[in-house]
Amino acid sequence: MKPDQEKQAGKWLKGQVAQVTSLLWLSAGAGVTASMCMVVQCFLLAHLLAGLAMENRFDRHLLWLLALPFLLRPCFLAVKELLGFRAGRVLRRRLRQSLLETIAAAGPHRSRIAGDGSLSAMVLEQVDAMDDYFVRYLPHKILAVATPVLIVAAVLPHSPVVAGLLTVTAPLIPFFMYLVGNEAVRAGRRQFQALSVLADRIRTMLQGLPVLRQLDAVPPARQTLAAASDRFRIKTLAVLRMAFLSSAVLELFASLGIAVAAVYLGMGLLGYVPWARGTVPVPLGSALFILLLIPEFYMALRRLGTDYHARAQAMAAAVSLMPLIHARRTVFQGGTNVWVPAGPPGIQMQQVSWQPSGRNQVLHAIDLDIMPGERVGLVGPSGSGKTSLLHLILGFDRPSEGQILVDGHPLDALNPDRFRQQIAWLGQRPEWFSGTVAQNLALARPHAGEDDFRQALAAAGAWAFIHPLPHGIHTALGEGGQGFSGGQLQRLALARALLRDAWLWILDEPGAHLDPETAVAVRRHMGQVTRGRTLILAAHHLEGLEWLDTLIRLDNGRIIHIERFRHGPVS
Amino acid sequence: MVRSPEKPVRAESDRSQPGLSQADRSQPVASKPGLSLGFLFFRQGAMGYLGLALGAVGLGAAILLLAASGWFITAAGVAGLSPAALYAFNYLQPAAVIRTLAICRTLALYGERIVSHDGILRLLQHLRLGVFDGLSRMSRYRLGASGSGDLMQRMLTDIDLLDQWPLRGLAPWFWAVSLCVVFAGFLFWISMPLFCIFLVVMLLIFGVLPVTVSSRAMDLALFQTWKAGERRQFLTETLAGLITLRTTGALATRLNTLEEMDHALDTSRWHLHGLGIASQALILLVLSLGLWMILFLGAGAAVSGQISPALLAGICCVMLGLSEVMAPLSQTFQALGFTRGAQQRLAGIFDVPEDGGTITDLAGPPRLELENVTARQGQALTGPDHVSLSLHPGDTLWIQGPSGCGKSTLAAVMAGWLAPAQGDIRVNGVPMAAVEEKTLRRQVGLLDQDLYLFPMTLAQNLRLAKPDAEDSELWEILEQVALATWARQLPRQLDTPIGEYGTGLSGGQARRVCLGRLLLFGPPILILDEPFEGLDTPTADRLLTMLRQHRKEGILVIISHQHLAGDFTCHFHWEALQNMENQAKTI
Repeated sequence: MKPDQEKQAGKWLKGQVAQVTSLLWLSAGAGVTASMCMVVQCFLLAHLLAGLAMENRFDRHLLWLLALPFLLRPCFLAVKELLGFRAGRVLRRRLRQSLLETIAAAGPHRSRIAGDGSLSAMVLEQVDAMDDYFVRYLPHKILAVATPVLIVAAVLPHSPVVAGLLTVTAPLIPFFMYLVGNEAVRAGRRQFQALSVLADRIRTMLQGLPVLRQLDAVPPARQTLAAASDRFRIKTLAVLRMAFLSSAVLELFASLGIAVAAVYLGMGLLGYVPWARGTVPVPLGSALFILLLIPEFYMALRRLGTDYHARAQAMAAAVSLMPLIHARRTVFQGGTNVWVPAGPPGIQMQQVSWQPSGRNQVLHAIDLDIMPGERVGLVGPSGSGKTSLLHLILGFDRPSEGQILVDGHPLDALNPDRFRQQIAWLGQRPEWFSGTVAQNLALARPHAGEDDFRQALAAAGAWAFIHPLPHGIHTALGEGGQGFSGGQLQRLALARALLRDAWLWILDEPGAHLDPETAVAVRRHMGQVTRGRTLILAAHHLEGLEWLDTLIRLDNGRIIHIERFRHGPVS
Repeated sequence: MVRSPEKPVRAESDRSQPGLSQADRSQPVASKPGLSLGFLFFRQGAMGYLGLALGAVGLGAAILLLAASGWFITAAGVAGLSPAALYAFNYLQPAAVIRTLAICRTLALYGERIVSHDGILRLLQHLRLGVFDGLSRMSRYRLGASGSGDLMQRMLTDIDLLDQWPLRGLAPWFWAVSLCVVFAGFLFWISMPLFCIFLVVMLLIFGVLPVTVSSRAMDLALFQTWKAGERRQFLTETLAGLITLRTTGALATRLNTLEEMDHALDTSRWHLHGLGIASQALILLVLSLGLWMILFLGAGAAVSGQISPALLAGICCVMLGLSEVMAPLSQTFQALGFTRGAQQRLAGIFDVPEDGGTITDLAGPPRLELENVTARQGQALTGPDHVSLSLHPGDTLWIQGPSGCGKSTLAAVMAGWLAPAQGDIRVNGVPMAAVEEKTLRRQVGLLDQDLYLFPMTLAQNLRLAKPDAEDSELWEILEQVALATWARQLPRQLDTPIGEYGTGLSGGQARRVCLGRLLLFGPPILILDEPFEGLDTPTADRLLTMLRQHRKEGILVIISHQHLAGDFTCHFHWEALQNMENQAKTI
C-alpha cells in the first residue's frame, strides 16, 4: 500500500461517508446521550454512597432516580449501534450498485481493470469489509471527542485539579499513540507484505499439490512451508509487540489516571494534601463522582484505539477499489435514442480511429460500408484490431475519431442497452450459466415455448444430441457448460443466437478453440442459418467460411484489402 | 427467512468439495475430532492457558483498581470525620495497593495480547500445515477432483475464520465466568443477601443469554456464510457471461436476483447485529438491576451498621467494572457461528486418513493394462466407454480425437488421478488402486493439459523433480525439450524467475518446461496430454523424435488432436475407440 494511494483512497472514503453524515451524527448523538446518562448515574450513585458514609442516611429518592439512567443508558447505546448499522447498510448498497454499473458498462473491458475473480471480490467482500468502519469507527471518532469534553466539564466544578489532570493527559494520549502508532503503521506495512507473501506461497503450494505429488516432492515443500510460516509468526509478533504498545499506553494512562486521582482525592479527604493541609479540597460525594467518571473518560479513547483496525481495513478495501472507481470516469454511458430495426441494417464506419487512453492507437481511420444483409468477415493476425472493431460496433467503446452509423443513426446517440438487445452475439467461448439447457436458451427469448426451443435447436444442428438425453432440453448445464463437448456448446450457442431472431449478428472467432473438423462443421452450419442477416465476423482462419459475402483483411489497425465475392446484398 | 442450519451447510459443502464421497458428506462434522472447538484451543499450547490467565489477572486488576479506589476514598472520607479515626487510618498501604494494581493491569493486559496472538499464530500455522497435509494425504482420486484454485482460496479464508473462536469466543467467557465466581465467593463471605442477588445476575447472564441467543446467532452466522458463497458464485458467473447478458437484455433480471440475495444477506446481518445489540443491552440491564438491588439491600444494611459504607462503595465499583468484562460476551456467539461454519467446510479436508494402496513393489519392465474401462469427469455426459488396451515396453500410443470427447479423462484414468466408473486398470499386473501413491508416481507420469509452474526460478521448478540434480543435468533436459537456446539467452539463465501459471513464458515454453520437469523425474510410463499445443511443427517433430528415443524401454502415450509425424506402435482415433480391444490385440 503506497502512501499516495492511501491518501487518494482516504479522500474517496470521506466522500462516501458524506452521503450519510446525518445518520452518523445521529448515531454519535445517541452515544453522547448515553454518556450523559452515565454522568447522571455516577452523580446519583456517588451522592447516595456519600450520604450513607458521612451521615448514615439512606436517601431513597436518589435510589429511585438512579433507575432512570440505568434503564435509559442501554437503550441509547442500542440506538447508537442501530443507527450506525443503518448508515453502513445504506452506504454499502449504494456503493455496490454503482460498482456493478461500472463493471456492466465496461463490458469486455472489465478485464483491463481486474480479473473477474478480483472484481467480484471488490463488489462483495471489499465493500463488506468497510462495514465496521461505518458502523463503529466513525461514530466512535465523534464520541472520542465529545465524551471526554463532557466529563471534564462535569468534573471541573468539583475539582479543578482533577479536571486539569484529565485535560493534560487527554492530549498526551494521542501524542504518544502517534509516536508509537507511526512506528506500528510502518511495521504493519511490512507485516502486511510478509502476510501476502506467505498467503501466496501457501496458495501456490496447494494449487500445485498435484504436481508436487506427481514429482514426489511433497516433504521438501512442506518443510519450506513450515519454515516460511514460522518466520512469518516471529515477524508478526515483533510487529504486534510494537502495535500493542499504543494500546498499552492508553491502558497505562487509564490506570494511572484512576490511581493518581484516587490517591489525591483520598489524601484530600484525610486532609493530608501538601498544599492544603488540614482542609478537605473535594468532599466525599464529589470525590466518588469524579472517581466513577475517570474510567469512562479513558474508555471513549480506548474504544477508538480498538476500532482502529476497522479504519485500516476500510482503507485497504478502499485502496483495492480504486482501480474500479477510476474506471467509472472513463466508461461511456451512451445516448438515449432507440433504434428499432425493420430489416437487416446497414453499418457505416467513417474515418473511425480508436486509441485507448494511455496506449498505442489500435485502429487507424477505418472506412467501411456494410450493406443491409451483407455478411462480412474480418481477418488478420491477432492484435490487428478485429476484436476492437467489434467492440466499437457493440458500443463498449467509442471511436476516438470518426463515427459509426447504424441504418444512418449515429451510434453515439443510441441507448447502448436497447441497441445491444437487437444484436445476436457469439463469442470464442460461449458463455453459460448454471441451470438447464432450456433456461440458458431462454435468456435469448424469455417467453419462448418448447416448440421454439426445438426449432432453434434443430436449425442449429443441436437437436440430434439434445433429443436423446433423458431430460432433453431440461438437462443441467454445469458451470461454464460442463457436460457438453466444445462443438456441442457452439451449436447450443448458435441455437441461442437464433432464438434472438436479430437482424444484426456479431461473431468473435466462433469455434476458435475447437479442433478443425468440428469448427468447420459448426461454421458451415452458421452460414446456412444466417442468410439474410447483416453479419460481422472476426476470424483467424477461413475454413468453413466460404459463405461470407465480403472479406476484409486487417493489419495493424488498418484495412489492407477488401474482397467482395458476390455483388450486391443478399436478401 | 433463515433456513435450518443443516440445509445451507450441506448445499455449501456439496459445491465446495466436489471430490468428497457420499460417506464423507453424511458424517456429522462436529463430531470429527480433528477440528473440534477444544482442539482449536489446545493446539495453541501453553500460550493458550497463559493468555487466559494473564487476561483474567489484567481484567481482575482493572476491576479491583476501581474497587480499591472507591473503598479508599469512602474510608478516607469516613476517617476524616473524627480525629481518632484519622490518626488510626493507614493510608500508605491502600495507596501502594492502588499503584500496584494500576501497573499490574497495564502489564498483564499487554502480556495477554502478545501471548494470545502468539497462540493464535501458532494455531493458524498448524491449521495451514494441517490442510496441506490433509490434501497431500487425500486419496489421489479425491484430490484430482477438488483441485480448483478458487476452492483453495476459500479454504485459506476459512482457516482464518477458525481463530475467531479461541480469541473472541472462548476467552471472554472464561474471563467473565472466572471473575464472577471470585466475586461471588467474596460476597458469600461478606453478606448472604448480596450473594443471592449476584447469583441471580450470574444466572441471568450465563444461563439465559446462551440459551436464548446462541442457537439463533449460530444459525444466522451459518446462513450468512452459505448465502455469501452463493452470492459470490452468482456474481462470478454473471461477470463471466456479461456480454451475453447485455446483448440479450437479461442483465437487469440477473442484477435484480443479485440484489435480492444481497438483501437476504443484509437482513440476516441485521438480525445478527440486532441480536448482538439486544444481548449487550440485556447484559447492561441485568448488571444495572443487580447494582440497584445491591444498593437497595446494602444501603439498609449500612444504615443499620451491618456492613461498612466503604465496602458497599467497593462492591458498587466492582459491579460497574464488570460491565466492561461482560459486554464482549454479546459478540461471542457470532464468532462461534463463523468458526462453526468454517469448521464444517474444512472438516473433510483436515485429518484425512492415510488411504490408498500399499503395494510398493512394481518389479519388471513397465506394463499398463486397461480392461473395459468407462470413466466420466464430474458431470460430463461424454467420456471413454469400455476401453481396453494393453501396453508393453517400447510401445507408443497416439490417442486422437475431437475436442471434448474425453481424451483427457482417459489420460487421468490411465495415470491414476481419476477412478474409473467401471473396469480395471493394472500397472505391471497390479491393480492400480492397490499401488502406493509414491510408487505409482515413480512408475506413471502425467503431463496435464492444465499446466502448473511454481513462482520460483526455472532451476527450482525443474529441481522439484530431482532435488540433487546438477546444473549440467538441467541443461541437458532443456536441450531435450528444445529450450536450451532460449534459456541461454536469458540474462539470468537457470535462475530466471518464473511467474505463476508461467507468466513471462509463452504457452508452448511453459508446456515444455513442465515436460522437461517430468522427464527429469523419469517415470517409465509417460502419458502426455496435448504436449505439442502452441508449438510450431518443426519443434513438435523434434520433441517427438526425442521422446521416442528417450522412451525406448518405457511406454509413451501421447494425446493430441494435431497430426503427429512418424510411426506409433498403436494409434487410436476416437471414433474407433470402442474397437480398441481388437486393435490392441494386434500389437
